[in-house]
Amino acid sequence: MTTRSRPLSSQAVAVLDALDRDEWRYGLEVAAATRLKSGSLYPILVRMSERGLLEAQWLPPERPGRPARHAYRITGAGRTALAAARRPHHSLEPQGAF
Amino acid sequence: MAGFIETLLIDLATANPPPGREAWSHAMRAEFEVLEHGRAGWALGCLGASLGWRLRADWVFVAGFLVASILDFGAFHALVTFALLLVIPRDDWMQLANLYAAINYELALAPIVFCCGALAAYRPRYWLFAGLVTPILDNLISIWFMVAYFHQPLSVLARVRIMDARFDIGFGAELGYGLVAALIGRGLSEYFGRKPAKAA
Repeated sequence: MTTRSRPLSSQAVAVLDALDRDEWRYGLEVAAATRLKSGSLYPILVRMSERGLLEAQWLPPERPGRPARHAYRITGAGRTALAAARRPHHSLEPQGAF
Repeated sequence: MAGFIETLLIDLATANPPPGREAWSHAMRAEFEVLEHGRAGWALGCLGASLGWRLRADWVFVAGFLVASILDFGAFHALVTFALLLVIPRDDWMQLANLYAAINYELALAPIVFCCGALAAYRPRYWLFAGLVTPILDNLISIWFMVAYFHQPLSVLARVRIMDARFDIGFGAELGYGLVAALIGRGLSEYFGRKPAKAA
Protein backbone atom coordinates (compact mmCIF):
# COMPACT_ATOMS: atom_id res chain seq x y z
CA MET A 1 0.00 0.00 0.00
CA THR A 2 1.91 3.03 -1.19
CA THR A 3 0.82 6.61 -0.84
CA ARG A 4 1.51 8.55 -3.97
CA SER A 5 2.21 12.23 -3.85
CA ARG A 6 -0.15 12.95 -6.75
CA PRO A 7 -2.52 15.74 -5.72
CA LEU A 8 -6.10 14.82 -4.97
CA SER A 9 -8.84 15.83 -7.37
CA SER A 10 -11.62 18.06 -6.11
CA GLN A 11 -13.97 15.06 -6.22
CA ALA A 12 -11.55 12.97 -4.18
CA VAL A 13 -11.30 15.79 -1.64
CA ALA A 14 -15.10 15.92 -1.48
CA VAL A 15 -15.23 12.18 -0.78
CA LEU A 16 -12.60 12.42 1.96
CA ASP A 17 -14.46 15.40 3.35
CA ALA A 18 -17.65 13.34 3.50
CA LEU A 19 -15.79 10.56 5.30
CA ASP A 20 -14.01 12.88 7.72
CA ARG A 21 -15.77 11.67 10.84
CA ASP A 22 -15.34 8.76 13.20
CA GLU A 23 -17.97 6.51 11.71
CA TRP A 24 -18.43 4.16 8.80
CA ARG A 25 -20.43 5.52 5.90
CA TYR A 26 -22.09 3.63 3.07
CA GLY A 27 -21.61 4.34 -0.61
CA LEU A 28 -25.08 5.83 -0.93
CA GLU A 29 -24.40 8.22 1.96
CA VAL A 30 -21.11 9.33 0.41
CA ALA A 31 -22.83 9.76 -2.96
CA ALA A 32 -25.55 11.88 -1.35
CA ALA A 33 -23.02 14.00 0.56
CA THR A 34 -20.78 14.61 -2.45
CA ARG A 35 -23.48 14.59 -5.15
CA LEU A 36 -21.32 12.17 -7.08
CA LYS A 37 -22.91 9.54 -9.31
CA SER A 38 -22.02 5.92 -8.74
CA GLY A 39 -20.00 5.90 -11.95
CA SER A 40 -17.66 8.55 -10.53
CA LEU A 41 -17.81 7.61 -6.88
CA TYR A 42 -16.66 4.01 -6.99
CA PRO A 43 -13.55 4.54 -9.12
CA ILE A 44 -12.58 7.28 -6.63
CA LEU A 45 -13.25 5.02 -3.66
CA VAL A 46 -11.16 2.26 -5.25
CA ARG A 47 -8.24 4.60 -5.97
CA MET A 48 -8.30 6.09 -2.48
CA SER A 49 -8.57 2.69 -0.88
CA GLU A 50 -5.53 1.55 -2.87
CA ARG A 51 -3.66 4.66 -1.78
CA GLY A 52 -4.52 3.88 1.83
CA LEU A 53 -6.55 7.06 2.28
CA LEU A 54 -9.67 5.18 3.33
CA GLU A 55 -10.53 1.76 4.66
CA ALA A 56 -13.49 -0.36 3.76
CA GLN A 57 -15.35 -3.16 5.47
CA TRP A 58 -18.53 -5.14 5.10
CA LEU A 59 -21.17 -4.31 7.69
CA PRO A 60 -23.96 -6.78 8.52
CA PRO A 61 -27.43 -6.06 7.16
CA GLU A 62 -29.50 -3.54 9.09
CA ARG A 63 -32.63 -5.60 8.52
CA PRO A 64 -33.12 -9.32 7.79
CA GLY A 65 -33.33 -10.01 4.07
CA ARG A 66 -31.16 -7.04 3.19
CA PRO A 67 -27.64 -7.49 1.85
CA ALA A 68 -24.48 -6.77 3.79
CA ARG A 69 -23.12 -3.37 2.78
CA HIS A 70 -19.70 -2.02 2.11
CA ALA A 71 -18.85 0.91 4.34
CA TYR A 72 -15.94 3.33 4.28
CA ARG A 73 -13.95 5.33 6.80
CA ILE A 74 -11.10 7.79 6.43
CA THR A 75 -7.63 6.66 7.61
CA GLY A 76 -4.86 8.67 9.24
CA ALA A 77 -3.16 9.01 5.85
CA GLY A 78 -6.48 10.18 4.45
CA ARG A 79 -6.77 12.88 7.13
CA THR A 80 -3.26 14.04 6.38
CA ALA A 81 -4.01 14.18 2.65
CA LEU A 82 -7.25 16.01 3.31
CA ALA A 83 -5.54 18.54 5.55
CA ALA A 84 -2.91 19.09 2.87
CA ALA A 85 -5.59 19.55 0.23
CA ARG A 86 -7.46 22.04 2.40
CA ARG A 87 -4.33 24.04 3.10
CA PRO A 88 -4.31 27.18 0.96
CA HIS A 89 -1.66 27.22 -1.72
CA HIS A 90 1.05 29.85 -1.95
CA SER A 91 -0.65 33.18 -2.06
CA LEU A 92 0.42 35.64 -4.71
CA GLU A 93 -0.27 38.52 -2.36
CA PRO A 94 2.72 39.45 -0.22
CA GLN A 95 2.19 38.91 3.46
CA GLY A 96 1.22 42.07 5.22
CA ALA A 97 -0.11 43.77 2.13
CA PHE A 98 -2.87 46.21 2.84
CA MET B 1 -40.30 -2.94 -17.46
CA ALA B 2 -38.25 -0.25 -15.68
CA GLY B 3 -37.41 -2.74 -12.94
CA PHE B 4 -36.28 -5.24 -15.54
CA ILE B 5 -33.98 -2.70 -17.20
CA GLU B 6 -32.49 -1.58 -13.86
CA THR B 7 -31.84 -5.19 -12.89
CA LEU B 8 -30.35 -5.93 -16.29
CA LEU B 9 -28.03 -2.93 -15.99
CA ILE B 10 -26.80 -3.88 -12.53
CA ASP B 11 -26.44 -7.51 -13.61
CA LEU B 12 -24.27 -6.39 -16.51
CA ALA B 13 -22.29 -4.09 -14.24
CA THR B 14 -21.54 -6.72 -11.64
CA ALA B 15 -21.23 -9.87 -13.75
CA ASN B 16 -17.76 -11.33 -13.95
CA PRO B 17 -15.81 -8.33 -12.59
CA PRO B 18 -12.10 -8.05 -13.39
CA PRO B 19 -9.63 -9.40 -10.80
CA GLY B 20 -9.36 -7.16 -7.74
CA ARG B 21 -12.76 -5.56 -8.31
CA GLU B 22 -15.04 -8.32 -7.04
CA ALA B 23 -15.69 -6.70 -3.64
CA TRP B 24 -16.35 -3.33 -5.25
CA SER B 25 -18.81 -4.86 -7.67
CA HIS B 26 -20.65 -6.50 -4.77
CA ALA B 27 -20.56 -3.18 -2.92
CA MET B 28 -22.21 -1.34 -5.81
CA ARG B 29 -24.85 -4.03 -6.06
CA ALA B 30 -25.55 -4.00 -2.31
CA GLU B 31 -26.23 -0.25 -2.45
CA PHE B 32 -28.49 -0.81 -5.46
CA GLU B 33 -30.47 -3.39 -3.48
CA VAL B 34 -31.27 -0.93 -0.68
CA LEU B 35 -31.91 2.01 -3.01
CA GLU B 36 -35.54 3.02 -3.40
CA HIS B 37 -35.30 5.92 -5.84
CA GLY B 38 -32.96 6.55 -8.76
CA ARG B 39 -32.12 2.88 -9.20
CA ALA B 40 -31.71 3.15 -12.98
CA GLY B 41 -29.25 6.03 -12.67
CA TRP B 42 -27.29 4.20 -10.01
CA ALA B 43 -27.17 1.00 -12.09
CA LEU B 44 -26.11 2.95 -15.18
CA GLY B 45 -23.31 4.62 -13.24
CA CYS B 46 -22.20 1.23 -11.92
CA LEU B 47 -22.12 -0.07 -15.47
CA GLY B 48 -19.92 2.87 -16.48
CA ALA B 49 -17.56 2.27 -13.56
CA SER B 50 -17.45 -1.43 -14.35
CA LEU B 51 -16.69 -0.79 -18.02
CA GLY B 52 -13.87 1.54 -16.97
CA TRP B 53 -12.36 -1.19 -14.77
CA ARG B 54 -12.72 -3.75 -17.53
CA LEU B 55 -11.09 -1.44 -20.05
CA ARG B 56 -8.16 -0.83 -17.72
CA ALA B 57 -7.78 -4.52 -17.01
CA ASP B 58 -8.40 -5.73 -20.56
CA TRP B 59 -7.29 -2.88 -22.80
CA VAL B 60 -4.91 -5.16 -24.68
CA PHE B 61 -7.77 -7.54 -25.40
CA VAL B 62 -10.06 -4.69 -26.48
CA ALA B 63 -7.36 -3.20 -28.72
CA GLY B 64 -6.63 -6.62 -30.20
CA PHE B 65 -10.31 -7.24 -30.78
CA LEU B 66 -10.80 -3.90 -32.55
CA VAL B 67 -7.68 -4.28 -34.66
CA ALA B 68 -8.65 -7.84 -35.56
CA SER B 69 -12.17 -6.79 -36.51
CA ILE B 70 -11.27 -3.67 -38.42
CA LEU B 71 -8.09 -4.73 -40.13
CA ASP B 72 -8.97 -8.32 -40.71
CA PHE B 73 -9.51 -9.87 -44.07
CA GLY B 74 -13.10 -8.68 -44.50
CA ALA B 75 -12.26 -5.00 -44.41
CA PHE B 76 -8.95 -5.62 -46.15
CA HIS B 77 -10.77 -7.48 -48.88
CA ALA B 78 -13.25 -4.65 -49.24
CA LEU B 79 -10.42 -2.13 -49.49
CA VAL B 80 -8.69 -4.14 -52.19
CA THR B 81 -11.94 -4.52 -54.05
CA PHE B 82 -12.63 -0.82 -53.78
CA ALA B 83 -9.17 -0.07 -55.14
CA LEU B 84 -9.80 -2.46 -58.02
CA LEU B 85 -13.13 -0.80 -58.73
CA LEU B 86 -11.31 2.46 -59.17
CA VAL B 87 -9.11 1.04 -61.89
CA ILE B 88 -11.47 -1.41 -63.57
CA PRO B 89 -14.06 0.12 -65.91
CA ARG B 90 -17.66 -0.37 -64.80
CA ASP B 91 -18.36 -2.57 -67.80
CA ASP B 92 -15.67 -4.97 -66.69
CA TRP B 93 -16.86 -5.46 -63.14
CA MET B 94 -17.62 -9.08 -63.94
CA GLN B 95 -13.86 -9.54 -64.02
CA LEU B 96 -13.94 -8.65 -60.36
CA ALA B 97 -16.51 -11.35 -59.72
CA ASN B 98 -14.19 -13.81 -61.40
CA LEU B 99 -11.38 -12.54 -59.22
CA TYR B 100 -13.46 -13.29 -56.13
CA ALA B 101 -14.07 -16.80 -57.39
CA ALA B 102 -10.35 -17.33 -57.82
CA ILE B 103 -9.61 -16.54 -54.19
CA ASN B 104 -9.28 -19.42 -51.83
CA TYR B 105 -11.57 -18.35 -48.98
CA GLU B 106 -10.40 -21.01 -46.58
CA LEU B 107 -6.92 -19.55 -46.74
CA ALA B 108 -8.35 -16.05 -46.58
CA LEU B 109 -10.13 -16.91 -43.34
CA ALA B 110 -6.85 -17.75 -41.66
CA PRO B 111 -6.35 -14.25 -40.16
CA ILE B 112 -9.74 -14.14 -38.47
CA VAL B 113 -9.34 -17.69 -37.18
CA PHE B 114 -5.90 -16.82 -35.82
CA CYS B 115 -7.21 -13.62 -34.22
CA CYS B 116 -10.13 -15.43 -32.53
CA GLY B 117 -7.77 -18.08 -31.18
CA ALA B 118 -5.18 -15.56 -30.01
CA LEU B 119 -7.76 -13.35 -28.27
CA ALA B 120 -9.31 -16.34 -26.50
CA ALA B 121 -5.88 -17.57 -25.47
CA TYR B 122 -5.09 -14.15 -24.02
CA ARG B 123 -8.38 -13.87 -22.11
CA PRO B 124 -9.90 -17.35 -21.83
CA ARG B 125 -12.99 -16.13 -19.99
CA TYR B 126 -13.90 -14.00 -23.04
CA TRP B 127 -13.57 -16.91 -25.48
CA LEU B 128 -17.21 -16.74 -26.58
CA PHE B 129 -16.96 -13.01 -27.20
CA ALA B 130 -13.72 -13.47 -29.13
CA GLY B 131 -15.05 -16.32 -31.24
CA LEU B 132 -18.45 -14.85 -31.93
CA VAL B 133 -18.22 -11.08 -31.94
CA THR B 134 -14.93 -10.74 -33.82
CA PRO B 135 -16.20 -12.39 -37.04
CA ILE B 136 -19.57 -10.63 -36.71
CA LEU B 137 -18.02 -7.18 -36.32
CA ASP B 138 -15.55 -7.95 -39.07
CA ASN B 139 -18.38 -8.82 -41.45
CA LEU B 140 -20.51 -5.87 -40.36
CA ILE B 141 -17.62 -3.56 -41.18
CA SER B 142 -17.23 -5.25 -44.54
CA ILE B 143 -20.94 -4.86 -45.28
CA TRP B 144 -20.88 -1.23 -44.20
CA PHE B 145 -17.88 -0.68 -46.45
CA MET B 146 -19.66 -2.30 -49.36
CA VAL B 147 -22.82 -0.27 -48.88
CA ALA B 148 -21.13 3.02 -48.06
CA TYR B 149 -18.33 2.95 -50.61
CA PHE B 150 -19.55 0.67 -53.35
CA HIS B 151 -23.06 2.11 -53.10
CA GLN B 152 -24.41 -1.41 -53.38
CA PRO B 153 -27.78 -2.36 -51.89
CA LEU B 154 -27.76 -4.94 -49.13
CA SER B 155 -29.50 -7.33 -51.52
CA VAL B 156 -26.16 -7.72 -53.27
CA LEU B 157 -25.23 -9.98 -50.33
CA ALA B 158 -27.39 -12.64 -51.97
CA ARG B 159 -24.79 -12.81 -54.74
CA VAL B 160 -21.78 -12.81 -52.43
CA ARG B 161 -20.29 -16.25 -51.94
CA ILE B 162 -18.02 -17.24 -49.10
CA MET B 163 -16.12 -20.48 -49.38
CA ASP B 164 -18.17 -21.27 -52.48
CA ALA B 165 -21.35 -21.16 -50.43
CA ARG B 166 -24.17 -18.63 -50.17
CA PHE B 167 -23.34 -15.65 -47.98
CA ASP B 168 -25.46 -16.77 -45.03
CA ILE B 169 -24.11 -20.31 -45.09
CA GLY B 170 -20.55 -19.13 -45.62
CA PHE B 171 -20.88 -16.59 -42.83
CA GLY B 172 -22.25 -19.27 -40.52
CA ALA B 173 -19.25 -21.41 -41.34
CA GLU B 174 -16.96 -18.48 -40.63
CA LEU B 175 -18.58 -18.08 -37.22
CA GLY B 176 -18.01 -21.77 -36.64
CA TYR B 177 -14.34 -21.41 -37.52
CA GLY B 178 -14.08 -18.45 -35.14
CA LEU B 179 -15.74 -20.31 -32.27
CA VAL B 180 -13.65 -23.43 -32.75
CA ALA B 181 -10.49 -21.33 -32.90
CA ALA B 182 -11.54 -19.50 -29.72
CA LEU B 183 -12.24 -22.79 -27.94
CA ILE B 184 -8.83 -24.09 -28.98
CA GLY B 185 -7.23 -20.84 -27.82
CA ARG B 186 -8.94 -21.08 -24.46
CA GLY B 187 -7.98 -24.71 -24.12
CA LEU B 188 -4.35 -24.01 -24.94
CA SER B 189 -4.29 -21.11 -22.51
CA GLU B 190 -5.72 -23.22 -19.71
CA TYR B 191 -3.44 -26.12 -20.56
CA PHE B 192 -0.32 -23.98 -20.42
CA GLY B 193 -1.64 -22.11 -17.37
CA ARG B 194 -1.56 -18.44 -18.25
CA LYS B 195 -1.26 -16.21 -15.21
CA PRO B 196 -4.51 -14.50 -14.22
CA ALA B 197 -4.96 -10.87 -15.22
CA LYS B 198 -3.66 -8.24 -12.85
CA ALA B 199 -6.04 -5.98 -10.99
CA ALA B 200 -7.08 -2.86 -12.89
